[in-house]
Amino acid sequence: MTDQEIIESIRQGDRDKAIRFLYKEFPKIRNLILKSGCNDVVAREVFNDSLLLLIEKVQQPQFELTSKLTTYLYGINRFMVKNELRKQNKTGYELEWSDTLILSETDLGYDTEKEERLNQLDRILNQLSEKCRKIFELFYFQKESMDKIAKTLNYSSVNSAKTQKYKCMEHAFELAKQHTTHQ
Amino acid sequence: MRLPLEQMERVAAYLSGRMTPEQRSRFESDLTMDSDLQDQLTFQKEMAQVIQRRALRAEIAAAGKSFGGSSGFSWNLFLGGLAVAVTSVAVYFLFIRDPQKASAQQTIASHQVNAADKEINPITDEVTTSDGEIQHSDVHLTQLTGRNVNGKPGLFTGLLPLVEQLTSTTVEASGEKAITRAETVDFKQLNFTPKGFREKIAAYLPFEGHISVTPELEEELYYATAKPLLTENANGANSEITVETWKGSKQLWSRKYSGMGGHDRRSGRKKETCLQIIDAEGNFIPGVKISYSYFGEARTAVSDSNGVIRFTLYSPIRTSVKLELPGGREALAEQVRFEPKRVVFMKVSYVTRGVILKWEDLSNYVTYPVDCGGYVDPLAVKVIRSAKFRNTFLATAAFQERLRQLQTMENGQTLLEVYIDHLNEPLYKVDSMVANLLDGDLKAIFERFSEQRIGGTAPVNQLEYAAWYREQRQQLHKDAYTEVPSKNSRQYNQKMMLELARFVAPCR
Repeated sequence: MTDQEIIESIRQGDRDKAIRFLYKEFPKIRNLILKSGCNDVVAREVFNDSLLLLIEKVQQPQFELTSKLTTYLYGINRFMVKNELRKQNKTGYELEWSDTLILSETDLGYDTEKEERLNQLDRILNQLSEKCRKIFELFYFQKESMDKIAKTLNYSSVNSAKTQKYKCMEHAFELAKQHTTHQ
Repeated sequence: MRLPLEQMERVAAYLSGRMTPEQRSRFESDLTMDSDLQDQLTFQKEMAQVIQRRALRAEIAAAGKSFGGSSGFSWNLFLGGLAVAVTSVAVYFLFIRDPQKASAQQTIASHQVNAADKEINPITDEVTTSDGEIQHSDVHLTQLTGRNVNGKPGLFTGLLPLVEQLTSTTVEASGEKAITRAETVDFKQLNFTPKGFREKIAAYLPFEGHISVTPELEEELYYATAKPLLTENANGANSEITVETWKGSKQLWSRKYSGMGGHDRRSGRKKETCLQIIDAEGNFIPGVKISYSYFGEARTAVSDSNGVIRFTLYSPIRTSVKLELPGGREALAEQVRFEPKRVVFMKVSYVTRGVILKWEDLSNYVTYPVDCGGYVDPLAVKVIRSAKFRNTFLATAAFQERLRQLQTMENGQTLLEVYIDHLNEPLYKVDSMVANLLDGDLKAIFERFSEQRIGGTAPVNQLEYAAWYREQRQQLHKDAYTEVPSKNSRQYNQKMMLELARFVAPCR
């Protein structure tokens, strides 16, 4: 697959092929991460998170590729490893990564505070019921209409699906509020 | 704060691009004025991103499956599997106070295997999938019926009052069918909960009627329930703590071993071994402190939230293990064999705390008025008389009156801890709490205390004080003897009694 093909397929929602293709880099990147002093589990996490970041970047309409896509992926991984090591209070040697692209937080649009908030929201999502998660997924990820959601989830009417969504959202919002006021 | 439906709908419409250009420009101008609207926009945007990430993560994990590497591993599931396959069972009974009795106990092998089979059933708050992704699953109320719930003890004993709360609440679910409820829960087994506990928990409770277990919730619940249950005294002061141990097979260990990830412990001679402590129902007991001897060197360790203690060994050892359970109870298991790469299970069935000595036991050493009961641990009294508590009602003359009463009652120690756990409340309220736990004449006595309407003192950090009390009490018990664990329990007992006698305050 060429870079352009990968970008197209990600943008069109046909991610599976693209992800599989990019995953071919995993063994090499994994070795680099292991040599930087992280363990196997962390290596996979870092790689998955980097891939996620890459996909999110590519999905933005203003994204322009300035290097090869895989080079960019290596760059993101390097950045994420550094981040991870900082979190663990370790100073890893960057020697292994010497011929990799250096990306900064601004290059990536990576906002640590926002990431924290997103993690917090992820935890909040866990506190919600399965039903709420399902509604959110259909609405925000599959981008389906409330009519269709009501049908898929067997609600008696569109209104009751809407009320349910509203309740879920309100609950999540309140939980998020509580967390911010606690901090 | 309530979130207006209309505002939320507007934000959703804006984000999904379902607005006319006029609506859009109005929304954008409103946005500059209204900070609530801004908050809502950020929130929904980020929520959408989180949901998208979840789905993407799942896709990525699925694609990555074929690329080998170590997969994640669930400790809970492992133990579940392990328990099923436990083959050899050794039962050690020992009660510190009464070593002669211990030797009389027999092994009941087959029975124990069954118990382990049945009880360690992985109802878990956290499941690690084969992709190494941790998923939180919901614990449904229907799983909480009856007494034999599995899981972490703090969790489930803490949840029971919640179930009660739910069953008495009508939940409106907008055209949806109502929640199916747990059929019956034995509320007699309920523990009392500390002040503000329910309010705290309510925040974690989604309105659908089932409970998502989060680390925060678990921690709350643990602290809320890390105290002895009143039912522990059911069989009176003569009951025992019994400890049974058995060990897992090597094969099972290797399953766990390869899945741990991160640390390759296969190199070197040092090998890991682990001990899991469970109660009679198969619940994991966290916070148990063990002391054991490692080639003559006294070592201690504390069990984690899964009741697991891990340590390294060079070669198999055989040692006595002293257990200090949360709440000050103690037990001793003799001749426990630890081997590298093997799991040892300890089942603790306790009915009452182990080292509370009755007054008669002390009578050989000191003479006190006969009418002065001895059911309250003298070391506990020593702790609450320390300077730390001088600003609490424990230091008042009124409380001494109650203490004298408690000393004459069989479950005096447990009830004393009710007072210690509610230092933030006015004294009369705690009196009535205690009264509610009693009946007959004793109930009347505490009701009379409550009628005196004696208030509280300045608010204190209740959790901290309660924890301090437990820590100090344990420390005093530990200081009372030196050999840990002692091979000669009788000697230990004598020493203990002498030490206790020194601390005992006269009750007049």
